[in-house]
Amino acid sequence: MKKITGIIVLLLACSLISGCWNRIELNELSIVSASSYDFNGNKWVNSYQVIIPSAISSGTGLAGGGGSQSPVTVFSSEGRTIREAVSKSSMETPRQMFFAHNSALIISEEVARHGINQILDLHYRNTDARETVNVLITQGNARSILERLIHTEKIPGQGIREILSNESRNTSIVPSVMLYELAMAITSDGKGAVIPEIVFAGNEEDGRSLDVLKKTYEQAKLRIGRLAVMRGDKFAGWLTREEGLGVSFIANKVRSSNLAFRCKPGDKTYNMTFRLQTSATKLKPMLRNGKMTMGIDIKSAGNLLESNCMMDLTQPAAVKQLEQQLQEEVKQMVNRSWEAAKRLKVDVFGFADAVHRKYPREWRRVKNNWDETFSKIQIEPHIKISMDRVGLTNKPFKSTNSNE
Amino acid sequence: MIIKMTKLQGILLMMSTIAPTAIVSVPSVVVQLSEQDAWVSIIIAMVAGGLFSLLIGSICRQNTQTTFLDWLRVRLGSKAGTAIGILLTYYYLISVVIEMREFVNFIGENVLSRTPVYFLLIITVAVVMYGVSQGIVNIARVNLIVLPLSLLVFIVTGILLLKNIHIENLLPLWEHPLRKVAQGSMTPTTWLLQVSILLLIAPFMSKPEEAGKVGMWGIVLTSIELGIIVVAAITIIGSRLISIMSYPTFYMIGIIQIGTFLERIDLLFISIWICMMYVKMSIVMFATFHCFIHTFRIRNEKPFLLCLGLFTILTTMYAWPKSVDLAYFSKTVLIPYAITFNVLIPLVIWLLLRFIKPNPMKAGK
Amino acid sequence: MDIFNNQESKGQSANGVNNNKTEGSQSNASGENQAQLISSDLQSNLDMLHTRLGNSPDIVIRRLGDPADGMNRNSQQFALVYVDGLVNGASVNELIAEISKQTERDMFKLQNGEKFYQFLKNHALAAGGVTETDQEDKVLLSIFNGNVVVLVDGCATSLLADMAGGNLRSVEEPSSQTVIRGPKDGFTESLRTNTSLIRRKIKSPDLRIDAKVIGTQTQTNIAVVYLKGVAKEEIVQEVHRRLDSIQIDSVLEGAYIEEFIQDAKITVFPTMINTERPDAASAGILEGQVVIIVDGSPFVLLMPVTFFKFFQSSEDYYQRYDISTFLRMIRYVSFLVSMLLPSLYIAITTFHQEMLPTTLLIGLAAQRDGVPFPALLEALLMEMTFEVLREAGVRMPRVIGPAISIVGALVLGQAAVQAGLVSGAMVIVVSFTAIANFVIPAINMAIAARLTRFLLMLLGATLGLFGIISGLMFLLIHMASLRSFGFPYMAPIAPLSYNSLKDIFIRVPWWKMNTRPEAATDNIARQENAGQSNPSDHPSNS
Repeated sequence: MKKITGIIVLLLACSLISGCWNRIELNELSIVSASSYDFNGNKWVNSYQVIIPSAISSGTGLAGGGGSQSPVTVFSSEGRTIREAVSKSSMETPRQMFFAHNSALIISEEVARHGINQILDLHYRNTDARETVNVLITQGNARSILERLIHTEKIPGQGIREILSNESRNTSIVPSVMLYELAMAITSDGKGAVIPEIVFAGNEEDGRSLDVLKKTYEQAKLRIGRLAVMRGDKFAGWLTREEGLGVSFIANKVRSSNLAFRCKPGDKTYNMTFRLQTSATKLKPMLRNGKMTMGIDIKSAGNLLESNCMMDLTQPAAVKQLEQQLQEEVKQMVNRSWEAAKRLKVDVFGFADAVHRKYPREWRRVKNNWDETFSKIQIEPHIKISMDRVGLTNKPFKSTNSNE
Repeated sequence: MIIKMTKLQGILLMMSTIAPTAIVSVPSVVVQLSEQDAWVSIIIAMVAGGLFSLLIGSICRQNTQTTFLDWLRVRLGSKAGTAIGILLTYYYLISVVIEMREFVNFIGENVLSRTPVYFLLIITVAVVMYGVSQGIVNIARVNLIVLPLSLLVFIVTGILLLKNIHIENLLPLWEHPLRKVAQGSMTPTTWLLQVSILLLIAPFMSKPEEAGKVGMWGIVLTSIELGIIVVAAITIIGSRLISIMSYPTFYMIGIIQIGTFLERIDLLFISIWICMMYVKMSIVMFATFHCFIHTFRIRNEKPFLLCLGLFTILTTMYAWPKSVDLAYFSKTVLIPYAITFNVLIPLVIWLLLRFIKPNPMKAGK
Repeated sequence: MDIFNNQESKGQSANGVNNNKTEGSQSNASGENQAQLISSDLQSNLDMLHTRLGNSPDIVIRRLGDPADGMNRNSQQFALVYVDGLVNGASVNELIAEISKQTERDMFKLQNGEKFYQFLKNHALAAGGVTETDQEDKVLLSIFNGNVVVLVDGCATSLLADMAGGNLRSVEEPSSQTVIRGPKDGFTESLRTNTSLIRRKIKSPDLRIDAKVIGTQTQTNIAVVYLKGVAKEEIVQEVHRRLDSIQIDSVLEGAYIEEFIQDAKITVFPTMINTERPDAASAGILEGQVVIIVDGSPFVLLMPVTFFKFFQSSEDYYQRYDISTFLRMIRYVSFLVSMLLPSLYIAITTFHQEMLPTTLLIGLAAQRDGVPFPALLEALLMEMTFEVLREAGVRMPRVIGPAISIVGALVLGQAAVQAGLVSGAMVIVVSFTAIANFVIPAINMAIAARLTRFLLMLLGATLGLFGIISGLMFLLIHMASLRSFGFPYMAPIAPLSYNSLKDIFIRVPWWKMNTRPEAATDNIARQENAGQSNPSDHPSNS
């Protein structure tokens, strides 16, 4: 009996002694909301954007968050490997780094040119780094992105993620890429991946201090830019935003988008807007006489949002004409993206997977120089857009002018 | 009143014996060899396991009253019975030690990385020993609560993952030659062969003659479960990425993200999985203990629980100093070892039973 | 009405050694000869009573008949002995009046004690339950059970007339288990009242009441009630066997018995339900359970029970099935919350912060910034405070009670947060846990949840979620191995029985409840037209 009591007392003591191995209190954590990787020469430079909780919400519930302290703090550390850099950061910070709430990962173009294999390995090997973190690329110094504050979100890291998800859901020009999606794309048959670019538009010094939040407008702001293309784990080139939308179409990543188009084929001005609600793309590879063609079937549907064109939309013929116009626009977009991808020689659309699935034997032959074979493919886009609704008015407002 | 297990409890017990360790690593093991045709490997394994369970069933049908080892001793003679008992004890002991080590490794890597391994091991062994001390029927009852809960969690996570599924990842079908697919089915078959534990558990069921059916159903249901997991893994992650991962199942759960408030719920899934592992370890530890007690005809069992527990702790800690040793062991030695004990011994028993006629004098005992 | 069985032979009143017997002998199976008998001389009997009972003023000895004088030795003397306060005064007065009247009339006919005795027994005694005895111990016991003892000079037997009465609490609403809709009568401290309350609800001739006496000093009357043909024979016999083997000097409440006869000695989980409501007891009897009523306490015991029975309240059956199902789900969830919430909170905030949404994490982190204690200590502090408050609320006089509890809970919690001693989230967690604890209908199960909560908190603080899961597995294995009078505690989930599942997590409507749960009975057909009585077939609906 005494022994059992002794054991129980020992166990109790174990649990009450603080510092119980894995236990870490909330106020001993340094919560990282965004991180970035830079490369200077041969050393990795990691930067972390760390949240200061007491600046955001006060614990006792008294008058709102402290307005005098910035909600985040940014610092960097260097090292020969990534994790060595992380461990060096403990020389600067009084708390333990906690990566599980990392929302955005920003890599600089230099790192992308060097190759991101190491970063991906890090995330897969360790348990504390998440695979659902959004990956972004920037052309200059990645750290400077972390230092900017955003008006509408207290925590910039989350703000960046929200911007990206908002964009990919509503305009789909640039897809929101999470780390695991990036890894899956890199390891797919085509070995091509895309990463959205984040840009800081404005003066170098702007956006870093709390004064930014005191104005009603943002003098300089973070925004999503172009699309970066990766061949395997290395950087290959840039695509513009129009080309980006085309890529999204072909790769079946469009969720909803707004398309501006013209009334008639010969027009110069764009004065109609169509909102795409749903879109689906099917890739159909066809092998004819040893030549590979890829049929791209795009089926979309949506409503008309804006019209400044003199057309009576109660007539089915008019609607059909508008649909055809739209189809033309999308076709041109798709062709342009295709040319761009051919120029970069990267299969960002997933053509390789489609070929592999339909013609496995053929695939085995061309597997090893897919980049060359890829550029020789002909695409045949078939686009079908259906304008389900035209809004509440059936004639443009412009038509009322002629009555007066 | 001595309560026995029902058929349903038996089936669920079989599922719990095989499934927990399998679901963690089945995708990576099988997909490495047969890639997107992995589900075919599972089907092959199911057929093999099913045939084997018929064999087991025919042995169990002949034993209707006493425990397995006592009956063996009566039928085959004292020496043969004792020898088989010792072999089985040895096998199940090694089994449980391997599983404990893998379990504790996993917890140490994924959940609690800084806690010393021996502490986790002490807690695990304490719970498992308590379960064993209450008897297998009790473990079956606990299983009846734990297993349906785990299936519910599976279904819920499956539904949450629906939007991540890319069915095209399963194509092209039949790309790999049958040889490779069969190779991929080796490891799942080895797991499914653990149904031979039914030999020991059948006397505790209310209808031991139905042990064959119980085994069949257990194998079919487990294979379906494994098949679903493999298919999900392939369609969600893709066959190439799986091959570098050690625990693809938990990775899949970690991807789930709903809005901003539900993220990284793999810990919930891990919790249910821990419960399932506890049940499995209790079952195999019970098999060890049972074989040990009945081989040596020990009457007072309680003190041996404590020493078996201590022995398990020490062996688990020191048999493989590094985790890479265990991985090497699993890859090379484990498969022939498991096949020997799971297949050969029941085969030998079955043959002996056919050729040694029951002794009418001894049968009356 | 006879409240103890004259034919039972085990000599229960001699269970402990009774040191007060003057000619101390133990009674054995044949009983009658060796026990101390009363003498036929009235005076010596009365002297014996004085010696045994002392001179308490509430023991009334009323002598009747002319005193013996030198000449007229024919006057028959007899005495009535009773305890004032234990008998119904008016009935006793009527009894005396009736006897006097009867014997006055015919007194000259009755010459000797025996004849007088027979006359009294067959004609004059104006009472209902009349027995006779010649053993001294039984006479004394019956005096304390509210009987009036008639001692006749010249006869060695005495008559016992049951006149139990006195001031007892009337039947009122049960204080502990109230319902909104349903019967509002509750058991009282009198055994007879309680059995009558049950008899009123179950008018079946199969209802059996077996009487026992347990407790050497208190000689408490116990009644074992069951429905013959529905309750399992083995269980009834087991109950009897266990009750008979109790050796204790006092039984003041059912709890004394409960600890003797329960199956598992070391467990936090109760294996018997106690209730103050006759309708709950009757419902249990109708399902085949055995009820033990203890004289002197309004709480009766029901057995055998399963774990899920503790979550059924009488009100489930008086409201509609949809709301009952919903409330039952809430009860199960509250049980889990009350057991797990503090430990989960500690485990997740100190070990697994990645499970929290980021905004929540930031809020919690901001709250913890000023708090000096680690999470476990904070939780233990708040839990102890709540337990103290709860205990204090029980002892508080009615008038101040509610005020103190509101003050205590809210203000103390709020002030602690503002002083920076605990974080706000911890106060919420602890108070919600405490409130969830009250949702559980049976208090003994709620206590189990409270106690296991502390164990799980310690495990959670040491090993995080793994520790909690290990603790839960331990409890689960323990619960699955518990038995209540031989029946598995976790039935009908484990072992699975589809019939009994109808009343566990949901409550199916009455027209579908055709079978009794299999825990206590083999006779499971409850209704005649199983499945045919569908309300839509009612003539009024077509």
